[in-house]
Amino acid sequence: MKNSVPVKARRTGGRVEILGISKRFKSASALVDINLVIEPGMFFSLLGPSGCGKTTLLRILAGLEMPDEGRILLDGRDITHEPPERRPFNIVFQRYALFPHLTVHDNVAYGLTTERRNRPSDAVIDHNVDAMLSMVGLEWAKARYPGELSGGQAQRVALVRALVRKPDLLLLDEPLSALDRNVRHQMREELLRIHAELTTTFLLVTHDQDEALSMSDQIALMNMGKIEQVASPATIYRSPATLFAARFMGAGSFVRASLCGRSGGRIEAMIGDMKVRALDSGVGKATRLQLLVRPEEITIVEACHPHSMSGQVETRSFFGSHYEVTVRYDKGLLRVRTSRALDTGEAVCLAWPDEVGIAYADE
Amino acid sequence: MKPLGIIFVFLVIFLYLPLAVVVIFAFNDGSGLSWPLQGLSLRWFALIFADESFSLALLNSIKSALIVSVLSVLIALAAAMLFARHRNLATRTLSGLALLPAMMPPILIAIALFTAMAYFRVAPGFGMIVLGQLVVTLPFVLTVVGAQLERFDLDLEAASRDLGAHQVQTLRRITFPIILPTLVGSALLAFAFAFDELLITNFTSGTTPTLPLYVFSKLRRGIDPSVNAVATLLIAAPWLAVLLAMPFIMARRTTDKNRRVWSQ
Repeated sequence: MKNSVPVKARRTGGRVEILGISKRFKSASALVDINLVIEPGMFFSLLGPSGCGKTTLLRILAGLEMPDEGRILLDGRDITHEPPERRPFNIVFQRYALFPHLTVHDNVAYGLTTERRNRPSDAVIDHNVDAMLSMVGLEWAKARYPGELSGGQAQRVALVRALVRKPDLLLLDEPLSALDRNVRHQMREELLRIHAELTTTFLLVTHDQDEALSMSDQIALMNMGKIEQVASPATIYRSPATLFAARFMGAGSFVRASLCGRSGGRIEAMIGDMKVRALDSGVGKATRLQLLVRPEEITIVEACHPHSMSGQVETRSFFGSHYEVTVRYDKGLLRVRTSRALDTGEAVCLAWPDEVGIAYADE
Repeated sequence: MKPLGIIFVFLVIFLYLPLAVVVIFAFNDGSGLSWPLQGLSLRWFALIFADESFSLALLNSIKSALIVSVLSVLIALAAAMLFARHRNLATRTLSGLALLPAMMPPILIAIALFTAMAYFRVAPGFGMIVLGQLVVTLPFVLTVVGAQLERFDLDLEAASRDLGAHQVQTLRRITFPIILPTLVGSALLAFAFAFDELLITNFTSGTTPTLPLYVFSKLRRGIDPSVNAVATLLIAAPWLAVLLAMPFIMARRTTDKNRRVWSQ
């Protein structure tokens, strides 16, 4: 787990700036005024539900799609109109897109054989391909064809095929989504290892928040063609900036509340006739609120008191070190973390601390 | 015997018994089409190869079938590329129209061509034979090539571009090798269709003979065992062609032969 932005001074070139990128398809907007900076050496994730425009942004970066507006700068140089073959960016495709008529060796070598000038000698190419394949433990598969590989193996070949050109930016389009759970875990660690080894900038496109949280230095959360939040995984998980971000990160339950005042930078809100304080995400003038309540913020107590509410256990999940139960109360469901093995149907009291979670304006 | 076996036996009998009769009599020494056979002989083959009008017809058929197969694959490839990569009302309509001739009775196409030729004062002959046969082969070739291109994963081309290949390189090293077996297969199909096309060719040939026309005219003058020899050649030709094309069709996987070519 890497939650803070690590120092990666080794790599200096390859700063990517995305300036005001917009793209429309037929009538629907795919991207609206996207602005992002990707620092060299970073593991950056574009996270969002399907259809949020993250893949379109990746294809625009690769040069496979042209933006309607905006510019892309690489170390200050405008590359918006460079064709894909001239950009030092390479893609790992979601469905791998390995050339079916070429061996694993020739697939990986492909990126080195396309240069008409400065094409490396065959010996250099073979050496590079061997080095790349051994990095992912696939030297033995050189003479195989893509059709003879497992999903995880094909994924590794696709990865090193893209890395063989030593790109400034490696674009990964949902690289783990087609893999089995176990293989996905291995692949995740392998990606992190290779990222650390090569210090290449990685841009991961994913819809899986766990994937983004566990691997990235920075995450840009996208929704409906717009960026909701750009932050480190810890920040985006602990203080999601918008209601969408809070919901998408799946960090807790939401409770309806109404605004009744402010004090000391906190919001004061009423849940029924119970008063709580919460962090302000920027609710502005909204009076109807949604409070993000984390499972660990609420405690289950023996006896009900004024600052608690009663409810009934609906489901119980075991997580090894603790249980998570969903409790139905008069206004909905709450997820609560507990060490007690409560039975479903059991009546419980939920004690609220004075200050809970984050307040968002209700949509 | 199981039902599947019975069906198989009937199929073989229906499909191949008449052909077997033709082939057997082509090598029969007797001049009548009746049992018993009168010994092995190549006299009928010698007879037809001595016939100049046969050689002329055979040559014309091979020439037109070759031209038609190459042309239909080229046209179908261009059209299928357009249909598969630019989907809109215009291309969808066009692809539908292109398949229509396959559903029309060939006699209608023949009459239409004949009328059009008269109207535009185009003389019948070799050019019109090719054109008429193209109308027959194109819809089939377009269907086969179109299906292949629909299946073609466009990410493969994107990957090639992404790895530094420009469009022409991508076409030569990725797209073309992958679809080559389909192109060869559909060229064979077109060759076979064109080689023994009779109905339309009958209207467009004028005085230019083709092999099916030669057989047809021979039959009109009464049964002659030399027709069996011609038929045997007609049966053998497509098989020979398939055999020759086998390496291309089977070679779904080839190594990147272009690897070294592009080093300069």
